[in-house]
Amino acid sequence: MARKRTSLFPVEASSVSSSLLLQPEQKSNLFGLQEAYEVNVNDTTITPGSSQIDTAYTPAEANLGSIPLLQQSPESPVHGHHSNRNTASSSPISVINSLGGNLHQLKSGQINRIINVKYSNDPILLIKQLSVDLAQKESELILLRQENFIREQQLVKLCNEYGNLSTLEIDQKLKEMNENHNSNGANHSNNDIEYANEQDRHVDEILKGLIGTAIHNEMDTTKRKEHETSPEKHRKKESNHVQAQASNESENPFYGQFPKPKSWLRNWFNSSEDLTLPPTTQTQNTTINNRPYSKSFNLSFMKNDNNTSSKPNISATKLPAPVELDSIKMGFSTSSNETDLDESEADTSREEVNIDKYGFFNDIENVLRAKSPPPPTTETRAASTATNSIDESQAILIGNRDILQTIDQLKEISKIHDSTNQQIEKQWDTLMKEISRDFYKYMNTDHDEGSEMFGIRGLNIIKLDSRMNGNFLNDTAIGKIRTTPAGPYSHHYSQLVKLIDKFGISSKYRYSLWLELSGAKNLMVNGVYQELLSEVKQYEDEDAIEAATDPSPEVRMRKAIIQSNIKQIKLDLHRTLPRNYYFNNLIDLKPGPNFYKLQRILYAFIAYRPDIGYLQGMNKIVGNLLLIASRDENKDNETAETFSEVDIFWIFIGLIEEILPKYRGPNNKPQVFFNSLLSIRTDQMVLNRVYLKKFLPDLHHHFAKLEVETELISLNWWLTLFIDLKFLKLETWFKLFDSLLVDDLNVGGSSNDSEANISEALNLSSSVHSVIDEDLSTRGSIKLICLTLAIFKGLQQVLLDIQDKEFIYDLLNSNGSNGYRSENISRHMGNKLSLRYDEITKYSISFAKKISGIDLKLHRREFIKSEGY
Amino acid sequence: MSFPNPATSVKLVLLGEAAVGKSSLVLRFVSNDFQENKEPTIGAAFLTQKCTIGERTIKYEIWDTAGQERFASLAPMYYRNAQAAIVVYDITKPASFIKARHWVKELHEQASKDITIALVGNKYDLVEDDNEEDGLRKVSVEEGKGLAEEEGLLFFETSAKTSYNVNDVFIGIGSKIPETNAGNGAAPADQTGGEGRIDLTSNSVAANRAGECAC
Repeated sequence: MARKRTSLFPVEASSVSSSLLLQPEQKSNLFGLQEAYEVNVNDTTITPGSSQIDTAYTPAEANLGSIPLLQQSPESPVHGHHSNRNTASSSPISVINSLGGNLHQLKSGQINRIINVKYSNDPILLIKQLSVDLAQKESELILLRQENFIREQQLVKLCNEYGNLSTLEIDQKLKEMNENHNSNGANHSNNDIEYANEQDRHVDEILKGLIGTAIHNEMDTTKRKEHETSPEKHRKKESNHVQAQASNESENPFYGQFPKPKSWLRNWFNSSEDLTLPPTTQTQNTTINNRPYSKSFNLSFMKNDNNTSSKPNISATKLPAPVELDSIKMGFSTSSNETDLDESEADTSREEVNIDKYGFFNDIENVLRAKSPPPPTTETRAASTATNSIDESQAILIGNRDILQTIDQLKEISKIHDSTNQQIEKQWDTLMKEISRDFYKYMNTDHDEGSEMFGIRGLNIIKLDSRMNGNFLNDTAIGKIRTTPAGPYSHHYSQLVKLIDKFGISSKYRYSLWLELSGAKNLMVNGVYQELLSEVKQYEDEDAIEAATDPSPEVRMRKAIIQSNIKQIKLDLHRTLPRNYYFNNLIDLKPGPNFYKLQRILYAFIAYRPDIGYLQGMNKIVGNLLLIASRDENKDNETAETFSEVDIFWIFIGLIEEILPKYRGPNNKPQVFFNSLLSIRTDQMVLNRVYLKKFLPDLHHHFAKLEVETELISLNWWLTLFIDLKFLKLETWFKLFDSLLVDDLNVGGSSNDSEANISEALNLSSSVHSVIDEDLSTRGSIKLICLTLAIFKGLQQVLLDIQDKEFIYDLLNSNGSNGYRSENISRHMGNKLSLRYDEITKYSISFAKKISGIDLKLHRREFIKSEGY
Repeated sequence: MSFPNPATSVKLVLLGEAAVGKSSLVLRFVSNDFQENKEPTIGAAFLTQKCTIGERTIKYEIWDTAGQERFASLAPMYYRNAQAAIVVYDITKPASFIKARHWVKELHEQASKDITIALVGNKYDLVEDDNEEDGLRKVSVEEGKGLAEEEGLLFFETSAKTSYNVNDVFIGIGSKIPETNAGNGAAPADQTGGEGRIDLTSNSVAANRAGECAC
């Protein structure tokens, strides 16, 4: 419960405390978390049967433990400080300064003498003095925490709106700073406090100074890392900077403009010359290293830190590393054509509430609290609300200096980000141009499917390649091979797949590529969606009435099936993405626009394929796909085509019919993914007991030792196609979806193999069909198996370090919001564990080369036979 | 409170129709929390919670399964080797009680022989103020008790929302599970007053969440 309380601060308070104060024993977050639990246990065992937990774990008091004075003199009245707070406020500050916190260094005799001389032989006076000190410190701490909290909230808001960063990314950044600081944080804060005492300034000034220096230290350490070449010079610059800022802090040009930063920030991103900003320390050759985010994408606390952190940089010098942000310009606040919303009202309220670019509420606890009658307040809660209600202008004042710094960084990030994206886009442009040129040159566009340049899973490109290289493969043969056919002239398909595997599909082309590659365009028939909807609507309305006029048993049957599906869908609609603004508008307490879109798509789906029907998990897949559509609506780029509700419907159909694995049903008929739970289960057995063991033996051993049943974990992943994994950002998930739409190159063997496949395919004509059918049952599975293994591999080092079964389950659990632990994990370490897309695909491809369809089928058969399950 | 014995791990599985409140029940037990719009569980979720019953400490390893009928075929994966099961139904939904009956039957046929099963009618908060006839309650206490007696189950009516009786379910199961460790005989677990209400506003489960539950 105490944990919950602290989580009222969206940006964890620990980052505040550790940046300003001592956290002497702070380990890596991974274990710091567990430690926190242990502390909790102790707390409860020490003071059972009381409500002390609530108070005993307020962050302020937790921090109190790290004040040097207290920490090193355990005899001092720790538990008495509450009652003494009042005396503290009434006593003059000068008294405080008369006594240093160095009592612990004195010998007992000396202390005795002090008591004798200074306190007229009354130890109680000394104790009182100490507790006064404590109380004073505590009040300072509370202030510090408040200010920092506000600052961070402002920054997060700012980053969210204008930097187009998700909270994840911001959190990540904060954590990183935090860590950097921790390494030498102790000394710093110590100096800071002493420095402040020496100056003997007014408390407020001291506090502000502290914050300032702490922040600068943070900046300094991050920057110093980046500019290891000239640390001396850099530090000098920083300190000058501090002074400069301190002197004109209230006259700052940005200051007054902050309340309406929308316009100036955007201008400023475009033309930075006009504004006098602190000089950026960016130099030409540090550009790549300057990218703070790329650093944090790595699992930076892995054992072999050197290897992991250097790898991406090496590759980055060759190619621009993929940036997980899409476009800096499309901040949430620019949304203007969200039809289902009351414009003015929604916009103002949204500015107050912290929502990321995909519509997820960042501080859900606050939103919920604001919308529900206040629960019984404890001391902690009162403090936090007080924090929230602090005057906005004050927040700006405090945040000002730091905002400048952050803006500085944001600007750098956005520059790098933009240029990287430009390069990636250029590569896409080139390829697309080439493909379209050759397509019109070599393909007979009058031909039936001539309008589709790419075709399902890019098969038309293979066809194009094969034509250009002089191999005239028939369609079935093309269906079988998974690479550009041999030949000197064309390798568009391989290029396409490589580009997708490296960067994901550029947002510019995602619309057309998703529609074609998924098969949606091929399946799409105008008007069908509306027809299906009106049919379901009709069944929905006459829910309970048994119409006797039903023409045939088939229709009655169909109706019954659809109605039972409607029932289940209705149960799940309000439970889908309840933390997302587009699904659950917590501000106005009504369903968001996507709620209804999801409902319609699922309704249409059950009417389109009643034989499949609705399966829990579909709501998540469709729901998340809808987020890319709603994000596109916010784009001010009018030229970009955006996904409509109908598009998403057909993409989902395409996904089921063309992309996801199909299995063998009872009559050896192909059966779609969602109808094949038992076959999926078998695949989990093969995946975890054969391939995991074979390719990641250490991890497999580790899991076996801890009795972690990974097949139960990966089963969940498959059922929702990797959505809601704590270490996959939504952005990355969209890219994973991109990669699902094409086959890995050379799956199931070396390139020689695939050449053999082609010649084989050329010679076979009658038996080709059965071959393709078989292929159907393994192709999709291999892709999912490889992605699963790739994720395990990406997390391997982290997982090997965890010796707690429960913790592993929590970490890998995709049922996101179950229980407090999951929330804590995602808050504390989810950001750190972000897997990079190109990392996943790289691993995935390497696994794909080692797994053949025949192999998979053999293992499946073994498991079915042994009926271990 | 001390830990006289090392915790005994007990694998527990939750079964029941969709949206009867399985996940909410677990969430209440594990973190003393309640979420209004709980996302449906896909596949299953794994959670743990310790619970001290008399001299024993039990660590529940809970598999909270998806409720949709179509996932039923996967259930054996989860109840395999389970020592305990909670079959949940919604006391305002008769269909969910029928489904519960099926689950009990399946568990008796397929699961381990000595599995301890608790039958739980959830959403008690909805019927708390019910008048006799016109209320929301659709499954009577007698029906629930009847089934429980018939099949040899523990029986509880709970509310994950108000936390009514939630802990008692787990305490009840814990005290019925045969002791595997060589230790003291399990003390009877009615220190909380049988099926009475536990006051969770103080420091019971959530406060002790990493330790033990309030008993």
